[in-house]
Amino acid sequence: MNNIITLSNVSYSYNKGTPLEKKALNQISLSIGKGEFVAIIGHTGSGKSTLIQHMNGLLKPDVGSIIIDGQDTKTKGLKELRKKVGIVFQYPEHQLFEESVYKDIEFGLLKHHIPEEERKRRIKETASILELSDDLLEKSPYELSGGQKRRAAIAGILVLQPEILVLDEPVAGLDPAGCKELFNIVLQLHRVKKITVILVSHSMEIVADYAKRIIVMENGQITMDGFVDEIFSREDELRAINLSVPQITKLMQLLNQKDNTINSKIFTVDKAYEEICKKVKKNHD
Amino acid sequence: MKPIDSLIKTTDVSYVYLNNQNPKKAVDKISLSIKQGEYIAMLGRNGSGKSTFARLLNALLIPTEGKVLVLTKEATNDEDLWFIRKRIGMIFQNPDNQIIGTTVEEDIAFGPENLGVKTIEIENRVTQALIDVGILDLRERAPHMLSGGQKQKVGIAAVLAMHPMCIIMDESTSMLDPLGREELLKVVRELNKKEKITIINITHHMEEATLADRVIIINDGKIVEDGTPAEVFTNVNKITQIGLDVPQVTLLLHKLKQTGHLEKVDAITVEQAYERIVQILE
Amino acid sequence: MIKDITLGQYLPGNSVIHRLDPRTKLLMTVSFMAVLFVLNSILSLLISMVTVIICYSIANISYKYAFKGIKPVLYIIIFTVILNVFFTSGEPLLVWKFITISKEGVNSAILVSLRVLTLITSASIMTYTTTPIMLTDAIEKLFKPLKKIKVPVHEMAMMMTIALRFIPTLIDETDKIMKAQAARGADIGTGNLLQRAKSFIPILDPLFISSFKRADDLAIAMESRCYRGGEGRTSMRVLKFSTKDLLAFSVFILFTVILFVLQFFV
Repeated sequence: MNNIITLSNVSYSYNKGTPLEKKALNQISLSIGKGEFVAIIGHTGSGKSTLIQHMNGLLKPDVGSIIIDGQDTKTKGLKELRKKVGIVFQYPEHQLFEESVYKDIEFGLLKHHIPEEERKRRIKETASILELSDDLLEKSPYELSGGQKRRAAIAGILVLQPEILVLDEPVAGLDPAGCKELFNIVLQLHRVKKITVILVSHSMEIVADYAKRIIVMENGQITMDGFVDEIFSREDELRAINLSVPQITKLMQLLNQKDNTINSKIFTVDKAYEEICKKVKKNHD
Repeated sequence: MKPIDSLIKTTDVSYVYLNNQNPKKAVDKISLSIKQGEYIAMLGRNGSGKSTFARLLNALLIPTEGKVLVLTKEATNDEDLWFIRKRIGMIFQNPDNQIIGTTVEEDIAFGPENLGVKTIEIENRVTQALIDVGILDLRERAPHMLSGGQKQKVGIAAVLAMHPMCIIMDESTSMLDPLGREELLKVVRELNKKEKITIINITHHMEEATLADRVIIINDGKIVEDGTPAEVFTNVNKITQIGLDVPQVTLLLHKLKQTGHLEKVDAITVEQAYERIVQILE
Repeated sequence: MIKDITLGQYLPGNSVIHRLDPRTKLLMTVSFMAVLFVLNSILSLLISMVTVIICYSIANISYKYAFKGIKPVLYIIIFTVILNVFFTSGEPLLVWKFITISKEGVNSAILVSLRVLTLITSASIMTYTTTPIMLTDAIEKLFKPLKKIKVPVHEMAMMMTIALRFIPTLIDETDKIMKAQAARGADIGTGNLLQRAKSFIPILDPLFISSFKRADDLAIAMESRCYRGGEGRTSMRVLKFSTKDLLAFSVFILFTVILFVLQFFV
């Protein structure tokens, strides 16, 4: 697999040279392949937000280098880079400002000098992916409901057709149904358009349902990096840094203690259901 | 204090928002009785009317129809309105937008100052509230230096200093990380147990609701479920139809029941589910 | 980005100056400033300056901070000095080609720069040793008599408090919005003047909207905590004049008298 993101030995501090100096990233090295779906977990202040802001050059490393699709973030041409890497920050609806949803989605396209025909085509396509009706596009962003605002803001990023989509707590404040809707859209983009997705989330259930690889951060460093089943089987280490595993995994671990032929490396309800059915059938025979 | 049977009682309460062209009925004839000392989770989707209902309870909104009684008083005049707001405290969603003071201590003093409490007494109340919430060390901090969870604890302390009988949390955990959420819920649970303060936690997080004694689900401005967490969440079809979640283990049991492995769904915790599954495996 | 701006002038401490009643400090600072404008002799101004420096030592504040206050106005001082030195007519002190420097020019340059430096350092010492909220309190109490002529003193003080409280929050939010728009390809603060002004709309617009939302939220939060204006409201902090304040005032008055004596008789 081609690496689309490569960080080597990256360190970054806030308030450099003042008594308030705080090291947010400490010698991070990391590669992410084209088309991966990676989740970054870690509690508040572990450096997740600082890390993702390095991915489109909003922050530049004090030490080390970041190569995105062959381009060093310290070189010129950040604008091109920002088209390639779409970052959806927490509560993205706070960035909406135009008089209509349509114009707001168009903002980034204008900034990147995309011709009008192309703009129209892309906005139409993006709106349909995010289930924003023509009717909604004409409205002022401030008239929309919470979930609609969120989708409108994400449309403003997706319309630039990024190759990498970075999502920072994209469903914070949304209810379970709204949350599922949004993730199904993201999953669709990931599968159909082969977009690389980097998801920052506090919800282990969401991470287990959607991501394939998990990166665990603590104190500005990457402490674990591996496939979902590998990371979630290290529950004690996760708990030591105030993280947890999905509820269903806890149940399977308990069952495994009683009967060690039951697989404890299970993270979704569907898989747990299959495992138990298999077991019941076997016990019957 | 002698426990009072009914702290809050609503009868056929409705609320209609009139400010835009098409009036919207946010709360539709809710009748409900809340006893002192209860720990209630109020669950519902975004826009279900749960926040509007909460604001009716402490007279931030006055019902379009029906009655809200707090300790038999209705907010029909100013005196009763302040009587109600003093007893039913409320903390909100965005921790930044409810801190008024430039230090923690000042913010907590704000409520008692409004009530006209004497200076010496205010000091005592502030100290006691800080101790009760476990943030005495934050006393002189500036709000913007605090984490989200700490800010919400300040919010709780600020309400406590007014000596309320009930605290309503209007989606107060929705902007917190899991650790902040857990700590805040621990604090309110303690207050509920020790001080017998009624807690109403409005949320769309199912995990929080399983910690409550009573779960009320609001949908389209109406109460659609009201019972213990076990009673409510085992009703899997109905809950998922509304667009809410049930615990993962409950969903697992529900699936097992659909394929005839189980007779009924009656577990919402890992331990309960473990017992049920061990039974069917044997 | 914008987060690097440091705010909050107050430097915590426990010196006599820190512990003075904020009203004392406010009154003394304001009258001292008035005195500085009246003073007209280099000697008196020099003594004032030295006294302010002594106050910095008493308050335990390093001179670095005194200089920090001066820095923004340094160019203005230099500019006025140049103006005064070269363009004041009088007894020539130095003549070189077409440039003439007069004795009066040098004299007034020294006067002006001493006055401005003392003004600024004395005002800074008040803000360094008094929390903004104490100052707000002092203003509210000092202006209380104006309530009789319907000046909304309490409301104004409350507004100041809230503004102080929300400055850091809004700075934080500006930073977030700037980053979010930059991620969409906005170039902030580049191009010609018009383009640059326009480039701030995507930041200011959402900032205004969210400020209104915050104000709305805050009003509801205040109401739910039984706020109903200044009527019947008590306060946790009570300002009290003590012997310290009396002493400070006496010293101040004596000092002022000496300054004037020096000016007129020496």
